[in-house]
Amino acid sequence: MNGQDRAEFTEFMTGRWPGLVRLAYALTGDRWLAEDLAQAALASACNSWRRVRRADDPDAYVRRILINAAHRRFREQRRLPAARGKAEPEVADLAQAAETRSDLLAALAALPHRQRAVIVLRYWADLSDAQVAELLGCSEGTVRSQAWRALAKLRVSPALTAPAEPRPGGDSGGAR
Amino acid sequence: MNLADEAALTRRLHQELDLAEVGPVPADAVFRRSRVAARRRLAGIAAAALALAAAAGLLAVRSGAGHGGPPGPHTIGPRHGSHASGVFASGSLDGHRWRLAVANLADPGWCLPGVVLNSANGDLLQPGFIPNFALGNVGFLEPTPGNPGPGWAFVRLRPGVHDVAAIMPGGGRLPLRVVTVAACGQRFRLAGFGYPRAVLRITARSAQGKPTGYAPPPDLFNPASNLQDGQWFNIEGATIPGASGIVGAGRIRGVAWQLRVTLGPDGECFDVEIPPGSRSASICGTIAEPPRVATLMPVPYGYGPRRMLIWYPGVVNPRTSYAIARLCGGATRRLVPVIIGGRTYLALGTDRRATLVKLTLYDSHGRALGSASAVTPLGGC
Repeated sequence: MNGQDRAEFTEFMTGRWPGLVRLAYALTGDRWLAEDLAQAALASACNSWRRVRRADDPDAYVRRILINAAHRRFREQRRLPAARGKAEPEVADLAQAAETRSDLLAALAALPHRQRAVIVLRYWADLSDAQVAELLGCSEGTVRSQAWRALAKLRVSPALTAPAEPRPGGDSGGAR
Repeated sequence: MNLADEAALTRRLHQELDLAEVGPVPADAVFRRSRVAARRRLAGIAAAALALAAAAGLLAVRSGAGHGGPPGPHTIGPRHGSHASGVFASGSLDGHRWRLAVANLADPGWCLPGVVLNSANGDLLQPGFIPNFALGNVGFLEPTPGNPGPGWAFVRLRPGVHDVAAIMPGGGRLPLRVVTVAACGQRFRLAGFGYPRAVLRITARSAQGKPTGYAPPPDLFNPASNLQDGQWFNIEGATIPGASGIVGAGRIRGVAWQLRVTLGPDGECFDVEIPPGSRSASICGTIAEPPRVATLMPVPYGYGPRRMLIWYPGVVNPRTSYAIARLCGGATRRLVPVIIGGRTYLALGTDRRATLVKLTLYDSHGRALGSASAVTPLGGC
């Protein structure tokens, strides 16, 4: 990567970092993991920067990397307790993350990965069904059906049936 | 919240996520990860080609050739007596003694000051300080990639910086002793420590008494993160002036190549360029003190179907005037070392049918300095 590419990528990275971390946070409910995934996605984009830059939608390219990475981590974490003999720190971290995440994020975390991604991309990232379908590599019909199923689960989620409390200042339970 | 209204869900998501605090972008960590990923991809291609060749019986790979990853550095012969006088921290972790010291990583007559852990695993020291940063360069070493375990860290301090401590997860505070050591005509104020799993923050007070500190990226201590790569992680913003140069060049059965070494924040990296100018295979390691004979890092590379090329770059005894490499089949090659960044390097390129069997080093009077046979894991017939 030459100096000009590096400067361009740094500008791109600086602008996208908050959005990518928040997207990853919504997908994982874990701040540490969110920053790690955002870093990994940007590092991957850095290695393919010339291709990313030429893409029609560089943002979609990086989001796709992040969503795929989150999905892989999701599958790995399900395997983690069995695969490792010493999982105590990870368990402690997850418990702490669960304490600090909001009821909404806790309800999202209970959804299957793809449904969670559909909800976050549709209702937070304000993407169209077509854009969500392209990001997730599925049809628009699948996006709509996944959204419908996810909404049905959220409606009956015990964490979300109580009236919402205003949360001034946001969640301050981050790792940094 | 009643989620019958999708607008309510949208509003609630924005409330939760848009206000979530996000720190500044860790640009240097991203660039480092991208470099690590690129090198791993190249090393993976080389290792896959090696595995294919071995499976086809094309290459004699001895046991201990690794666990699917690229081969690591291989030290031939005893090392120099390396009782470093510049020890600035020592201790015991998991029952093993350790010490951090400043050492000259270059040949006699040259200077390349670095921090070494137990006389190995060198990390170059910055000649100056990062602007507006009281702590100078900070390095973290997680030596066992993918495995949670102990790590080591050091920090260089500006004059007057005091009250230095490491804050551990759980809030424990480890006060650090600041020691001044001299190397290469420079004086370094350093503090070092070992830690069992992770470090939250290094704190200190500036000469004016103002609190200051550094928080390493949390994923440095996450075994799933590719920041754990067995290399030193230097503070973001550190720009160690790297030396880079061509160690060797040539042709193997018509294929032109050259091999470059780079000393910098990633340690000591050997990049094979086929054709010259475009990187094809790569391997990096921490920086060792100059050896008595040679420290080689074999770099295999699959070139075309069923074709395996192998390079043996490395650091050799500084008194080496030339070396004779004996190859499988009886052929010999005469190699002349080059000095890059104050270290003496040579490189041999060959193919799978002519792997390195023995390397003998000679001084300028033709006297043998030492030799090594059976250069595992990618040598022998």
